[in-house]
Amino acid sequence: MSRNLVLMLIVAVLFLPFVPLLVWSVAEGWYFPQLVPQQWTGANWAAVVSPGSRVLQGFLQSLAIAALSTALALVVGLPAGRALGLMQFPGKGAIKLALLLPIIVSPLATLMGIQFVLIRLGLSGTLAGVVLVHLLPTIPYMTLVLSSVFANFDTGYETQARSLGASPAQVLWRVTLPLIAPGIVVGALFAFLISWNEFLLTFFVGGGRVLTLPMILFTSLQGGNQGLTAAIAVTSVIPALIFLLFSSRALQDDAAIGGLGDV
Amino acid sequence: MSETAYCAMQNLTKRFRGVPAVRDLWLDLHQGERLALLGPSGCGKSTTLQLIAGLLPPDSGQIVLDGRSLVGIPPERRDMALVLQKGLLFPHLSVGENVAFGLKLRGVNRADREAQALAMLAQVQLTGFENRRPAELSGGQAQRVALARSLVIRPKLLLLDEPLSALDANLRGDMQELILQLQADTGVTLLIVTHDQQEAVVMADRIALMFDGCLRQVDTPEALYQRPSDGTVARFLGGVNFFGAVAAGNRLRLTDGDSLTLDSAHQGPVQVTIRPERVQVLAERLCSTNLLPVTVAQSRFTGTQRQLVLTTAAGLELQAWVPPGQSFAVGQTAYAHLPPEALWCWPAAGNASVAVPEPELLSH
Amino acid sequence: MTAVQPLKTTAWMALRDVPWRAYLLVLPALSLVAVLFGGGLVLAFLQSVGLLGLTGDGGFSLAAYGAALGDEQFWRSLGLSLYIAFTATALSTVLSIGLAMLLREAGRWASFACQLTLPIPHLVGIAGILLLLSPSGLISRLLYSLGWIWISSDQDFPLLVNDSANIGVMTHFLWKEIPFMTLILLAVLRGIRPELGMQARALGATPWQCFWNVTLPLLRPGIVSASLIVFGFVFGNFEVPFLLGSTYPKTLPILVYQAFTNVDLNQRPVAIALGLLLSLISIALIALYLWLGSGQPFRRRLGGQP
Repeated sequence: MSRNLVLMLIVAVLFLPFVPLLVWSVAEGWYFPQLVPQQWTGANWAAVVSPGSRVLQGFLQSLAIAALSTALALVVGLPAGRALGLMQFPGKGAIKLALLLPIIVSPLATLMGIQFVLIRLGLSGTLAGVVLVHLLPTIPYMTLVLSSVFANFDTGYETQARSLGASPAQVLWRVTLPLIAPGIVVGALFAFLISWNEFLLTFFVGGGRVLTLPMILFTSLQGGNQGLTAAIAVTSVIPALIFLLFSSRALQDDAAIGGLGDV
Repeated sequence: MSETAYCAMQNLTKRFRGVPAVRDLWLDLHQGERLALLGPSGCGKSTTLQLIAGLLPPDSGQIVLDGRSLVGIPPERRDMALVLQKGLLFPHLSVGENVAFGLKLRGVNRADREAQALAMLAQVQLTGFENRRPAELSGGQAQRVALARSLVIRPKLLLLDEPLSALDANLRGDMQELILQLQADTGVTLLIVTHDQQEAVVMADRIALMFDGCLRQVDTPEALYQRPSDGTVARFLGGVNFFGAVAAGNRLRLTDGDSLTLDSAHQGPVQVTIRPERVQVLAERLCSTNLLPVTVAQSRFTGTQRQLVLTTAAGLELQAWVPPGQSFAVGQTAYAHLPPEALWCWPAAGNASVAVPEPELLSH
Repeated sequence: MTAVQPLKTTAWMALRDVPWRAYLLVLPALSLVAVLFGGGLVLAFLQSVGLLGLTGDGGFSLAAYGAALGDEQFWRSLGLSLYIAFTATALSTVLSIGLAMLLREAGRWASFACQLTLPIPHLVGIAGILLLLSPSGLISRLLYSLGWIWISSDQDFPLLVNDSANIGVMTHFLWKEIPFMTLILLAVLRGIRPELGMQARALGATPWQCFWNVTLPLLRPGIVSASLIVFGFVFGNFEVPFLLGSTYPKTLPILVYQAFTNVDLNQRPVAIALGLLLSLISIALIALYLWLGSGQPFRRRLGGQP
């Protein structure tokens, strides 16, 4: 009984910052002592969808960057996760730590170093450059989650499938991937959220020309139009929330999340 | 129920979602005794153990240990120690720290508890293992550490829950020997839960047989084998020979007309049983009482004995386990001798025909 | 029975035993991270000492480090960054452990509740907290409408954002990181066999002793990992202290950002030197933390053996 109460209290506290965001996004001239706005407006939302605010453009660019960096992280994270989760080899601990460094060490110095090269390669301020840099945090998260998932994976299934006549490719496609699918979903969710969330990396290598949603929100936050800021903020939550809801079943896989607790 | 019981379970009942797992259980243990709680899996024996250890609260009834009622006493203040199936050593502690765990909880200072732990490890023949990690131990070693960890706190009652079922057969004999030795050395009262009748017989002074949450028979191993209270008990303990008869005093008339002599008196319809190893098979008519002419229908060599299936002329089937040296060909005629003292019977109205739980396979 | 072959330790055999397959599998991920992260660090270093860059004569110089370390602001910022990172990490760790223990048996609902803040970008959280805690924010309005005497205008509400105590920053980090840590700890906690607790109780442990002697040590790797991720993140975070933090002093990442965006290009090497110092400090702290967190320094042997 009291546990449910605690749970509800937690949910309420976690939800609290959303209340003013939701109200502000449809409020007009909501001045100080008023608890409830006197006037409601759809202007902020109209601004969000209008091309002039470039919110939609940023939304789509963010989506593309997050999808690309998640897919790339998955491609390199799957084999790495398998090796780290299932095999024993010298230097494994060091490799695991090296893969982890980008998410626990401040990326600022690295970013300024990378930017120097990207400028010369003509990648500074391009989508490709931003995707490349977003791999820095997405690969570690993906690899951590997948190595933990593989550590709980029984390779006996693969041997069994081979003995029943499946080729290595068929084993991968028909046995391994379906079995670790929940782990892949969790890894992809984390990678997507990290990339979707990212401000600093985009700022440093995007050079102001790659306009993602966090960039727009950051600018808006410094501007002072609270209604528009609130509407952009609410917009920023939507895709991530949808992804989360779709993966809620996969998130019950303790091994996947537990991977973040096994550094 | 004697007044002097060291540990008494009185009227213990536990239900899970309304389904009774343990029903109205009364059981006494004497100080220094070894008692085995035997039954098929799901019969409620592990639940009983958890009730005793205080890990589950009973719905009704109480447990008294050494004159103290344990109602509402949490597990840590019950002066008991429990060893679970797989030893369950704490993976974050070394072997020595595992053994010293209970002493540390009791506030014993470091020097004392390390000395006691080392002495206890020596007693389970694991001297020199104190700094190993649990992951480096074999199953048998882990189980011995678990035993040492439990005994070092000098419990009033040592509870063993299927302690040997995860070990392979060869190891099991050594472990049984070790546990008996430790029990003799320490004099601890022992309650062992098992589904393995062989283990129960070897380990216990008395066996409490449990089916469906109820105690069926509490007796010495010999008595259980020779004088089962009913067919269910007999079948669980490996009884295979059952036949109907009508008793008149010491005389039994089988349904097919043969007659046998008993060493006790009964009246009316009865169920008769005889252990297969007590049936003697003779090639010739060497004695006159309780001798049935039979044909050998099946002969199977099991390594330590020869198992024969015999049929009488009237179609009665009888199993006999004879020494491996005796050889009988299938189809051969012989004589089955059923010694009067080996025959056991109970009124036919009893539940000899109820469904019998299968004894489980030894390995899990 | 066949006799065991004696081990030949020729170089060729040793080479054959190298688990090439494992290295091959980690190679793509590792090389990407090494090139991006390691390469970035090297290039940053070369720029910071003047061997590479837009300005300067291409000669080796430690002037940027001198400028960075010589500025009193650097030390103030370092202090503030460490204070925020340590406090936020310590608070979220302790509270997350408590929360995870509390929600241990609450089932999947608990995990779901903890996932609520997972998809929310930091900038959204910042916006929400600004509109909630600022002097004219929702809480201030709520207190006003409840008729609290000491709030007669938004000037009377205590400063909770951009305040010198960094309460707004702390609130945001706790709001975001506690659910994240709790989620991880709950997953780790569910991996601990419940029988171990039962076994401890049956050996005489009170519930508290059981937590302290069994659950917490078994949870330790999870706690170390999760708090490491949180510490690293908070220490290097820019947007939260920039938008919610005190105006002076500023945290180290803000200092880097300001030097980097400075119109004076001579400030660029200083920005990079500052960034490298920031990385160096976090690597040192992480190494120390991992060493302490492994428990190795505290492990002792029994029986007086060497």
